[in-house]
Amino acid sequence: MPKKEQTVKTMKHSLEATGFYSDASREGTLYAVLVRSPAATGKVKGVTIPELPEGYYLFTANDIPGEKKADINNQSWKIFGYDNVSYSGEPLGILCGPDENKVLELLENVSVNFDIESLESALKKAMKHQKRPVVKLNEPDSDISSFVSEINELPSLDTVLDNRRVEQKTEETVASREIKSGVFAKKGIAQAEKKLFSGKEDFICEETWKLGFLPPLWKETCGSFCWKDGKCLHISAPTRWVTHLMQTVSSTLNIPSENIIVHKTKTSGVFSKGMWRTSILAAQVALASYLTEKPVKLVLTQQEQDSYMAPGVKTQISYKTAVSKEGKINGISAFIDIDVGCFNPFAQEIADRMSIVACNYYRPKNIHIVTKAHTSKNPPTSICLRGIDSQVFFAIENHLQKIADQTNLLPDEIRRINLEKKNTDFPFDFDSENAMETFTKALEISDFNRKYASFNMDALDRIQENSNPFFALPLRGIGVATAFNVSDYYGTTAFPADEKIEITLFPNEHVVIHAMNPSQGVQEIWKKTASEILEIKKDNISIDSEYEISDLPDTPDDAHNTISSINELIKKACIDLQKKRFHQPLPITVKKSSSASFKKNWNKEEFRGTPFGPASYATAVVEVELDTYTYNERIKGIWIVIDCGELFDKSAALRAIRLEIQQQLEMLVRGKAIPCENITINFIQTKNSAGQIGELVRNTLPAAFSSALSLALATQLTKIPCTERQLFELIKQRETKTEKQEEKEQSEQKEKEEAKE
Amino acid sequence: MNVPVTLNGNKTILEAPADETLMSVLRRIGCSSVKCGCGQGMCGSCTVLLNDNPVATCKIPLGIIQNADIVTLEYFERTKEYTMIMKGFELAGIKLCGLCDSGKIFSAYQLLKLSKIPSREEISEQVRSLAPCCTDMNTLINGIILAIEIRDKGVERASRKAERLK
Amino acid sequence: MKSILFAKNIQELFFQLKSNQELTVVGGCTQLDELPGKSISTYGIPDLSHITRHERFLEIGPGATLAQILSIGQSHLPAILYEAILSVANPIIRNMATIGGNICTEGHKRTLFAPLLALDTKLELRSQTETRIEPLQTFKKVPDGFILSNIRIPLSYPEVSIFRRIGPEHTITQHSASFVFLGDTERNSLVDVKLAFAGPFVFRSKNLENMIIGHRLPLTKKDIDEIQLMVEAEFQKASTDQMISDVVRQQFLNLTRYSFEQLT
Repeated sequence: MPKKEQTVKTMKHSLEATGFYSDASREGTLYAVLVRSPAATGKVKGVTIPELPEGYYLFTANDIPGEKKADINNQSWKIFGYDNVSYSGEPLGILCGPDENKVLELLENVSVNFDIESLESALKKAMKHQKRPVVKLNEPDSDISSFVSEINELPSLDTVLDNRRVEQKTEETVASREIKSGVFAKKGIAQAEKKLFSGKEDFICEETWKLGFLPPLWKETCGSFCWKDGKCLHISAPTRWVTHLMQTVSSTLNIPSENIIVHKTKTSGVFSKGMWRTSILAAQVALASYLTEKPVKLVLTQQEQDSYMAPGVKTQISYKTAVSKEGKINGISAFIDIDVGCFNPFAQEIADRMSIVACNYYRPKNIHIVTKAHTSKNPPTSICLRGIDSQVFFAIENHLQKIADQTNLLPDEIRRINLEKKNTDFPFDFDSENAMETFTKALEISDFNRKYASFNMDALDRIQENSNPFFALPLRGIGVATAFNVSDYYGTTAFPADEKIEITLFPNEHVVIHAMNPSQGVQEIWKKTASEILEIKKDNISIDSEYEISDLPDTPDDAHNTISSINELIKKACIDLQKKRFHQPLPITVKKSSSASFKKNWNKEEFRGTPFGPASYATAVVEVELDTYTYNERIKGIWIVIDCGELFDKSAALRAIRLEIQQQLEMLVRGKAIPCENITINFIQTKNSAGQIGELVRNTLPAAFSSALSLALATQLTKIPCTERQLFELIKQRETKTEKQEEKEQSEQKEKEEAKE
Repeated sequence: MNVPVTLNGNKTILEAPADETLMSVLRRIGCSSVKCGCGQGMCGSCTVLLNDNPVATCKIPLGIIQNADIVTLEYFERTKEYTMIMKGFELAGIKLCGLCDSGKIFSAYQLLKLSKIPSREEISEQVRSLAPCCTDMNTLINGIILAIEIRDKGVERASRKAERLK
Repeated sequence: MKSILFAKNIQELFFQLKSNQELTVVGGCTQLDELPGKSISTYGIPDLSHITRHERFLEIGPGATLAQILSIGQSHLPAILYEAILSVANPIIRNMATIGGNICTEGHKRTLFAPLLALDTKLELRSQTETRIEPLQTFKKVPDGFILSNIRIPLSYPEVSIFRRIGPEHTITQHSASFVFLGDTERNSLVDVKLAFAGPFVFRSKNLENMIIGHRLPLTKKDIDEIQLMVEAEFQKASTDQMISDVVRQQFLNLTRYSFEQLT
């Protein structure tokens, strides 16, 4: 809250996140819950409650004084659902009152009335993924056998529904990207496919990969706390997009933005959040607070958080590759299927990013990448600005491993042969000169090649042996994956913004850096940079993240690159300050903004060129052991080598990577955190510009883990997070395959002997 | 239900339904150091000291803790053990995020009050399920080792040990 | 409206049980998703929180927390019990969770049930007028009018002692179970075997154990295959009409095999 009286227009907004919104309280606070649609389809006629005690309120879209929809990235989405429902669980209203328990009781009494026409849609949807059940009886002569026959003879529900009333459009492609190069571009898809995948190539490798996100349970759930203070409406929320939140609330309540004070609170969890869905939530709560003129707090439950605010999007990535026996990928055809739920205003951004990294930094000659983002009846999704590419890296790195298995080549041979820069036809220019350094180093420190060869032979022996060996040893595997993380994305359509900073040197040798407030670690780096150049103590340097409303950045916090770009700006600004300080009176202020020159290397129309700024590279090796008795995994070692250019604070970097590893180890297997005591982290300091180290573990560890597990199982694991059941089924499949192979061999042997006789 | 307890040194009566969790009751009366995390007692965000032992308040119905002695982090901050723990954490490079403070600090306290020096494995066992929101386990273990060093040998020796642990 | 009554000692506890219909005795409540309508907790009742170590057995009150049990030291507890308690949740939960609660929770059996079953634990059930001793093997629930007052665990140090927790780490789901194997040998013969499983249902068969005892050591592959078939048949009988997933079933059979392989 502002400490001194200021006019509303000159009030500054701090972009520093402090505290947690769920801790906030004021006298007379009303506790709120959202009234959600019980059905995925239908036309809402009304939301009613038979009786509301005094002091309890129910508001819906009808009560919104301003715009009923919020603008996000040139698209719009409803604040509260009305007319046609978009998904099951869509908020249709907000119920609030002074007693939390009473509000929950009253929620049971709320009725959502639908138009009858929608019943057919709901039934059709419910049936869509269900096979018509058939009741089977173990004992045919049982007393109930005639009853069971009657049930089985009943007509299918499908034949009695009036299909005219069924909602037809449930899926729609909202974003797509197609990239063609080489023979795909010159001769067309059909001809290219015929040429590459007709069987003339030594190996054709096809597979579909899925990396799901398993959000941790320990995060603070989303929500908001709003209260009025005179003319101003205060909103406490874990937002990372302050301007959007202000604009949304302003248009919903029809009040000027200047009258909205956003108190940014901390976000927790692993995945970046606090984007447009937080703004919608805040607008819902703000509506209740504005109309009741009381403080209102809404805290989502864990179940609501997991169901309706899930991170990222669901993707399924299929590759088909034509590979020579030397391991060279001559053609790659990729299909990236993205389910964005019923709405995602950043679908195109996500599709573009995923398309660009679909081949990692390899340069196959002929590529055809099709990315389609489609809607579904799932809740709306958002963009995970950090780690947006992780699902694609999982797919491509696993696919490379599959190619290695098929061609019997070592994983590093496959990668080296596909990294050569001769292919000028490749649409994207990645600076991958140093990319293999991390790879080579990681293989060296983990003794990868020797272990890989040994575990591979072991796996082959096991396939040939009896499936139920005497004294089964744990299955062992080792996997490797390499990826990168970028500082700037030049192709962004959703968040075009220049980085800007301002540094002021005061007469008392105090320096203030005016910029977006980054994490603690990055703050220390900025202070260290400024301190070294200006020769001023670090304690005399502070970061000011207060902005006047007109200066607030338009883009979310996570769209700003704090390490490389802004740190470079700070360096330049400090150098300028140093030059001026002894020649000009203090205080002196220097402003810097990022140059647009690099962005000229990206051709937006043709979708080719240099898409990214400086990147950091990483390679992860994971050695895994699987207990065949309990299906428990154990990670025997993780080796990660990172090239992030200049390393500012090694201890902090080590701690950050260890933390990310620990977080990822909780997301690989459902219901378990896989333990690992032996973690080795190496940094290669090169002359690359400094890059982010965040997300490098997320981009590499899952693929390395699943490759390792696949080797241990001698069968392909294509989905993470995996489950005990999955491993059980894979082991069973392998044993059944071995038994069938043995039977086949035995019968062939028998036939041979009979033939001889 | 009225449940008499000693809360942060003061005898008081907590009034709430018998099955309401202690976490919910404490948060309602303003103890914001008790955070709502996983709701399963695993992450440690809702930890308080109950009769001098760290417990997960999200799993405790108010009705069973009659006459218990409850200490929340707000009150624990005044103790010398808190100072030792925070100094140990500082030397290890730990900057707590605010969500997990009570779990990490009270887990450290449970080890600090032992008369013996716990091994790294024992410390790991104590903290392995705590939320990895801002601090990895290795660094947290270092922080606790340094807090115990401060308890036994003082800040200066602990600072030297911190350099070796890095 | 749920209510929780309070007792300072056993006499008050009996008084409350007598005066209140449908009163359920609970422990630390760490596993309960929902409290019963009317309950009374053993947490903090000193008479029910004792831990006494005798020469050949351990006596623990149902209100003793798992942390208190661990604090007597690893060397003073049977290995499988120590391991099993360590696998329960985390130290913060173990500061409240009671051994009585772990044994008496209805429905899906909790982690300590199998180890206590394998150790031939006996339960002391007391009413105001009567005291009964019941082996855990036959225990279904505490009869009305009675309380669980003591848990007697024989102390044994078998040669082979295996405990495994099946299913998710920190929570109990339908896929959770615990497995215990204890084996003793003498003069190249298997003289004692205890095999226990608890989760969706409880399994321990003295018949089966008697059939296995007497095998010559070291066991051959043929012996293990034979034993495996016997175990499978008994387990199948016990698990008929029980909801057990095929993964858990296979894990039990795998662990049985693994256990006997330690005797090769």
